[in-house]
Amino acid sequence: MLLFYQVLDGLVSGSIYAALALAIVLAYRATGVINFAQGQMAVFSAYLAWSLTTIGLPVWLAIAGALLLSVVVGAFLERVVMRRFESAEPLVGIVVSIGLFISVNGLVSLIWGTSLTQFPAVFPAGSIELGDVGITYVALGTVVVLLLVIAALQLLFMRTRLGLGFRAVAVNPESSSLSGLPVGLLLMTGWGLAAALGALAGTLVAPALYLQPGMMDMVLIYALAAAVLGGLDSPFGAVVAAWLIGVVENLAGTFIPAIGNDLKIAVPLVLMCLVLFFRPQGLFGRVEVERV
Amino acid sequence: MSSLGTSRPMTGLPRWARLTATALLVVAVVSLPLNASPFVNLQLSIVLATAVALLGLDVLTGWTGQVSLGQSAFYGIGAYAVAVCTARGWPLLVGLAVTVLIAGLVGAIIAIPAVRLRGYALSMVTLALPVVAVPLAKRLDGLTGGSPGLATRTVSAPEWSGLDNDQWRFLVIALISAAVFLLVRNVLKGRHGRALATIRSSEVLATAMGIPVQRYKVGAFVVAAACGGVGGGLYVVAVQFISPETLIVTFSISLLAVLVIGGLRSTLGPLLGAAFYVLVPNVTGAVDAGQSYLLYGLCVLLVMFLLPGGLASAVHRVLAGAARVLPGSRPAVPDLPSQHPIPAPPLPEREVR
Amino acid sequence: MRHRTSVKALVVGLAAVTAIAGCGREESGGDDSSAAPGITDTTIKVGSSFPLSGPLAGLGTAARGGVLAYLGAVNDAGGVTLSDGVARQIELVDYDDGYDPARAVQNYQRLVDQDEVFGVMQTFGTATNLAIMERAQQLEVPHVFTHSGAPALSGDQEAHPWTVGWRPTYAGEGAAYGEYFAAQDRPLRVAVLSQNDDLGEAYLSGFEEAIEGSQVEIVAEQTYEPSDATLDSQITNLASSDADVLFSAVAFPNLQTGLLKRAREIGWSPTIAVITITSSIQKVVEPAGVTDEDDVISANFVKAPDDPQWAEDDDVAEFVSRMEQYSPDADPQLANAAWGYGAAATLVAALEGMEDLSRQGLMDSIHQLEGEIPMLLPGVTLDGTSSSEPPIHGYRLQEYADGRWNLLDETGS
Repeated sequence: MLLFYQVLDGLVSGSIYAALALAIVLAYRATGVINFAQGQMAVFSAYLAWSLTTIGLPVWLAIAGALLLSVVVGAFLERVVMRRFESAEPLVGIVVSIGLFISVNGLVSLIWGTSLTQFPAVFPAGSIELGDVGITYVALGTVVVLLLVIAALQLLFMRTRLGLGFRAVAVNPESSSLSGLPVGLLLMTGWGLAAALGALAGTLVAPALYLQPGMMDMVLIYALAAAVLGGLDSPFGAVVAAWLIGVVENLAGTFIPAIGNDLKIAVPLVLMCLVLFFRPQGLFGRVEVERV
Repeated sequence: MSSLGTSRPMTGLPRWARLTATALLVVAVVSLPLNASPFVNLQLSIVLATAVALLGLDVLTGWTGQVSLGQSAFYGIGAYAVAVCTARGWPLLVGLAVTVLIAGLVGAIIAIPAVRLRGYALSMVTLALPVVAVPLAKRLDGLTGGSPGLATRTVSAPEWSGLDNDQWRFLVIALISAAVFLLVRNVLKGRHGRALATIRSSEVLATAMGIPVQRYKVGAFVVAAACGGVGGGLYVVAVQFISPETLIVTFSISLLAVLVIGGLRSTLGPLLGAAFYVLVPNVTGAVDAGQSYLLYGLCVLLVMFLLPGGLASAVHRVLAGAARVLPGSRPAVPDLPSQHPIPAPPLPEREVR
Repeated sequence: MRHRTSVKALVVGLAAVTAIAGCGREESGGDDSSAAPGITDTTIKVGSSFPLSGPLAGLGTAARGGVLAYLGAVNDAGGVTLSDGVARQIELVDYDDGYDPARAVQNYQRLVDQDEVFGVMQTFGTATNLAIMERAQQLEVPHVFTHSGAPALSGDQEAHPWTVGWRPTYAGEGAAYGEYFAAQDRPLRVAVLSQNDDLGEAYLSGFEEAIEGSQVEIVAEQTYEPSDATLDSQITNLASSDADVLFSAVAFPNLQTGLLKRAREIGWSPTIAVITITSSIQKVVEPAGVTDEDDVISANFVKAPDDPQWAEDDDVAEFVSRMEQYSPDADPQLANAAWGYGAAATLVAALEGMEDLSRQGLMDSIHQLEGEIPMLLPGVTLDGTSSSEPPIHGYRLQEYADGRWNLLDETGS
């Protein structure tokens, strides 16, 4: 019983981490930068969705609208901010994304204020009874939405010309450009899609966390760990790693008394370190080959 | 190798100008606390403490190319070590020695496996440090005072000096910071600096040249940890308080950001970055306390847009200009860092197997 | 030629620096004709520091809003009249500290040196205030009515004569619940959920002390981090103890709401004690879907503006309209706003009672404070005479029913 609930809770938290981790992976594949502002952009999107509900849109429509707007915001930030630092050291890109993180946080506080704001429930309350355990609709819905997203991404990458273009740009921007691919447009789309995925993570977590400017800070840490553990350029790996992190963390916090709830976050991180020591490219990442 | 941007800010200036500038700097540092208010002395003390931590991070991240998100953990180790030692009445230097030992040791233990990692993998391993350090600091409450933190009277001005406490603390911090800066600068000046630069541009090349890559990377990690610790120790001397809040991940991330804002691989960089970190929020807070964070974030972006080489690159540009005008100058150095803001090491090409 | 220029530059430069070095600094505060630093013939300058950025920005903004609302109203009514018979406007200078102790200390030092305030009030948070406390004793500048219920801030006012808290301590609140359950005189098994820091420890220690020797027993304990996204895991663990009582010392409204919902979802319905910070009807109790069938209690010391029973109350109506007028960006429903408001009222009372217009005079006046200030629950009063308790001490226990918190008879101590 206890075990079942703890695993289920872990999968639900893991699904939220996974959505943001997917966003980080997509942005990384597009521009080679780990975007520290991804979580904060997700917060911005969640507030956008909330604003749409306040003008009377039903919550699902509001989320869909926020996802679309997020694509625009993501593409805009890539074109106007990140593009300038494309050829600079990756560290510069990171710092610019940190600058974005702080600025977007400030912007959210400026537009929507800093107090806790309730976000309407996305899934109905209540639960499905299976024998003597119950699975809430929230838990079920969160996991199902994530599975749908993975399926959609898989289709996009493997079955469309756009997806092919993405993969080409991620592997080698210069030759993609030489072979006539609209690299700039693809990079913008990559960031746009990443922002939409982040928006999904933000709106999924918002009913539980409430809206506040810093609501994704901790999720970002988990998502970063998941993205790196999964292999940074592997969407599939990020999702598996995120679920693993969510479940392992809960189990360790519950069943190993010495760890407890305060140190449980250390468990997935230590796990990540161990994996990285043996597989520096992550669970599902490709090996990078350095040429002199 | 000169394009790798080892920058001594005054290289281009004539000898007399360098001497004068150095003399002025020393007199200014010594006389400054005598005139400034305790608030200014406190701010400058925190700037110097932060600068020492940034200096260490620069050795690891700027020089060796290993992006670390764990510096706040070492800062915390140093802060707690000095707080605990001075609370027992031990002299500050003993506290700092303990700090260097513990922080260096922890750094080495983590570095030895971690330096095998490349790129973002190392960053993520270092990210785990502050995430674990905060709950640990809360748990070891017998030593650390737990989550409310530890308040301590660190150093006080001796009777004979006739100074106030804030003045004395600033001078002590300035002296120790200067010693650390000189030490690290001298180590980096010669073949060690060149070796690290080679590792940064290509580890394969470095190995081919016979440079013991792993040993250098561990060394850089240990220097970063020790400097982080000393920075934290100096912070406690100035603030006289430490709590787990100070160790949090976001502080590590901020340190990385202001290091780049200050300028990588430059003596001035950590100083300017630390000044940015400490002073800009105080200024934006005075402009509009409610929007200080937004203004701070915009300042970060502004610097990156205008000076991708960091604030130090602007100073170097000014000094280069001065070098051309002043009498007795040598011909301008051919490649000043300002013209090569940050020499990007070639991105490893990714290849599908 | 070249030589002379360089020598000249050197001499001029050194002379300039020596000149600066020679003048020495003026003592801060100055010894002007005015009675005390920060007091002029028309104004009194008071300082503060709040987290206006970062995760606690909402709470900090609310606390600041409460202070500004009360002071704004006092100023518009002519200001505060001191013992010399002159009415003065109260000016609040405040800075953002992002809940970073280092910045809070800098803000305090800056308020003293640069803004030359008379005193500092309502600085927000526990670590931040503990960081300031030591410095306040050295500088001898009032550091009063802190926005924190940490026992350490008021516990030994003889050792720290320049610092005093305001709201009752967390330990006192924990004790109020402990006494309530102990007084029921029957075996009760309690599950406790608390924040993993001094706040949680204070609640727990107060509770434990109060139940000592009674039939009440703690059977399960869990902690959480302020950064936790959900408490689902903790509540699942606590529910497996099947305790009769859940003492939910959760300090974040969103987490408390999630927890109450979750307990229902997994079919656990103990008596639940929620702490005052997260007892808001609009933000916690109603969103969590608590009904009269649930057995939920809470302690408080101020009237909650979102509780319908106070809708007609003069204090609350005035509070709400002043918040709208002077602090439209702050959330009046957060308890922090009412505390800031009450603390500002206490400050005004203390200023009025000063016999001697000096910093020491303010501290003396605080220790003679007795009486009423707006927003306190019936039975809770202002009493600054204790040197080991904050000026507001005492809680009233309340039970949730009919959409409001109903006061229970026992008065917590």
